[in-house]
Amino acid sequence: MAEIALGEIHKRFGETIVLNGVSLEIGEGEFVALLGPSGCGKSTLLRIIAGLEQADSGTVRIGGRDMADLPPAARNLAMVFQSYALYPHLSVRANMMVPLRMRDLTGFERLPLIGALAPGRREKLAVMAARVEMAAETLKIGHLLDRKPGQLSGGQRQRVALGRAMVREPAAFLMDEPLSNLDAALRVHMRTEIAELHRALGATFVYVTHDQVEAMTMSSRIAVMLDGEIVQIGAPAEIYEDPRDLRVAEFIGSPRINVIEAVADAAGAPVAGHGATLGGRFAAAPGAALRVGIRPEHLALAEPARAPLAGRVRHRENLGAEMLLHVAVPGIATPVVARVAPQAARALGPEAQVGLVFDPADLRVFDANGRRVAALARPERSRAYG
Amino acid sequence: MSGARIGPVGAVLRHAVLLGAAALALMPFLWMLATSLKPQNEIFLSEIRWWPQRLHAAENYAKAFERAPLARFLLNGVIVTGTIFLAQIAVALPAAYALAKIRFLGRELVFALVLFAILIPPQAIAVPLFLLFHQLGILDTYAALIAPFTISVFGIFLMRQFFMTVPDDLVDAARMDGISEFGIVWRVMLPTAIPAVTAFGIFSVVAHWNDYFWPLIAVNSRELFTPPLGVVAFRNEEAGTDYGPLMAAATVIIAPLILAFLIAQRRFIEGITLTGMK
Repeated sequence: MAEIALGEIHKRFGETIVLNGVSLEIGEGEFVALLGPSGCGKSTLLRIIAGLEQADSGTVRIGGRDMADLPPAARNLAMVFQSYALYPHLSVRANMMVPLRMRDLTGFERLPLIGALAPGRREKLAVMAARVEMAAETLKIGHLLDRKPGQLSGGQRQRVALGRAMVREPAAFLMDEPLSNLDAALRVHMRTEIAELHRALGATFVYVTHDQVEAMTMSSRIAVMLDGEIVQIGAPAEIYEDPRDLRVAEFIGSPRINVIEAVADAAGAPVAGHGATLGGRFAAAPGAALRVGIRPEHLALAEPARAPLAGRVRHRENLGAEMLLHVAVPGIATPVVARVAPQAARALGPEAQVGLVFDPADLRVFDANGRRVAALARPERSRAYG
Repeated sequence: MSGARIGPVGAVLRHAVLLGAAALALMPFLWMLATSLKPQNEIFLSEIRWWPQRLHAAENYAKAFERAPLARFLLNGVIVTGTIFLAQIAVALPAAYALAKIRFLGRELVFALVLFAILIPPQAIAVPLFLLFHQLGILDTYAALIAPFTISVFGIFLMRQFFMTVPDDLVDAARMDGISEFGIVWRVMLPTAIPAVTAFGIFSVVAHWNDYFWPLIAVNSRELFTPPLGVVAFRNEEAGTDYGPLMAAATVIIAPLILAFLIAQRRFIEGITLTGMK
């Protein structure tokens, strides 16, 4: 168990800047997700922590020790890969033994045949075998120990990969999209298992994913990475509720947050393209272009005449527990998506005219560059309209 | 699917054509075998006789071993082809690993040179090699037979293509586990590449077991003769027109290859399809 501190990591591949001054502190026993779209540099960052990749500049400290020039194995980290990366010619047991054999046996003891002559080798192997058994027990793969990876299902391979990482009790676990090769049902299941494993081991986890649901459900903190930078870092709820950048707001949440182009009026209230004042007061100069974000679940159905957003229902998606309404509002380019109770929406015919209301406190306002604009006075929690 | 469309007549026709082609390829081998079983007077009959009236096998084979040190030639063949193959693997695997999995400046250039070297026919460099070995004073030794082939650019190319298909994650996992780069080559890459290595092994062993050109140039002493040289020497010097023992000797010499191929056949085909070299 150890904390990880990254300082001003820069990395470029040729002309492409992959990491542009990334700093990150990960506490002991914390579960941090590096979340971002593909190509944002999250995997490179993980590989730099692991030592598989060298940063052009910047520091990596693990447990207070500078890791510069230390090879991957000397960092005492374990990594779980997207493709599992099990040794195909070795049994599950042998796969899980590899890191222990490499760490605890001397070069002579690892030699085939004559290595058996080394004193104490048998005892060491017994200790290792016991560890492997224990890890297999925890992961419920005890019955698979003598199989080859080729004979296992995806989920089982994933467990073996976790087991191989666990046996040497590393300072931290690094996981590179470990669930993305699994089918949807198994992914949901393994999510719970990995979160439980983290609680049981109490170890530091760094988890790279492009799947916001994985990041939201498992981690204690999320670092959102975009274009080689950490744009925001915080608890999942904080990232969701209080995005500091429009890109973060758009990346987190499904369906995506609705973004409405608006202009600030004299009081700092955003006025949408179709002329409706959306409410609230924000720290924006009069006439400044604003982009107003509102999450689908913060919209509610109302009488069209009295609602700030009104339009025709273009498309309905019934998800069972909820219904997504795509409403084409005149003056707003993309349809506004509202998440409503199915009972409320069932009565609506196709192409029905609906109004959408919201609490101005739920508006997240960004400037033209996508930076968050603060609310001046926090509006009271009340429906301004409807 | 296509069989059903063609129908039984088509299927029979197809097999007849295939059988015909196979028979054509097999004919010399079968003739060699048949001849090796015949007494001298039956070999030059005008009629085609696949099985001799008077079996002369024991005499022919005994003569073959008696008149020339066949066992010695076979042993030479094993020493030369075996050493060549091991050396080729020892060079090709690390080189292919570096070309496929390690990023370094000029990697593409080195790989282009490897491809270029494949284009050079061995005959073109035979004379310079002969002169070089003469200077070194290693003509007429095992070293002269083995050294020119220890680096197989084709082997490097074949293994590099195979290693490209091995996921990078596997290499990274091995690095995380503390296996050294050479350790990765021998303990991770080699076991995953067994089909490709087998395929390459067959190419290499067949080529060097049957090689007549270079051994003819490189060695003079009879005790260093490889099997093909042995057979020829056999005919020229002693057997003369005695084709029974000659064919017996030829049979003995190709038998190990056929056995090796039958044993490795499945892996061989696997390896060729795996590397996409059909």
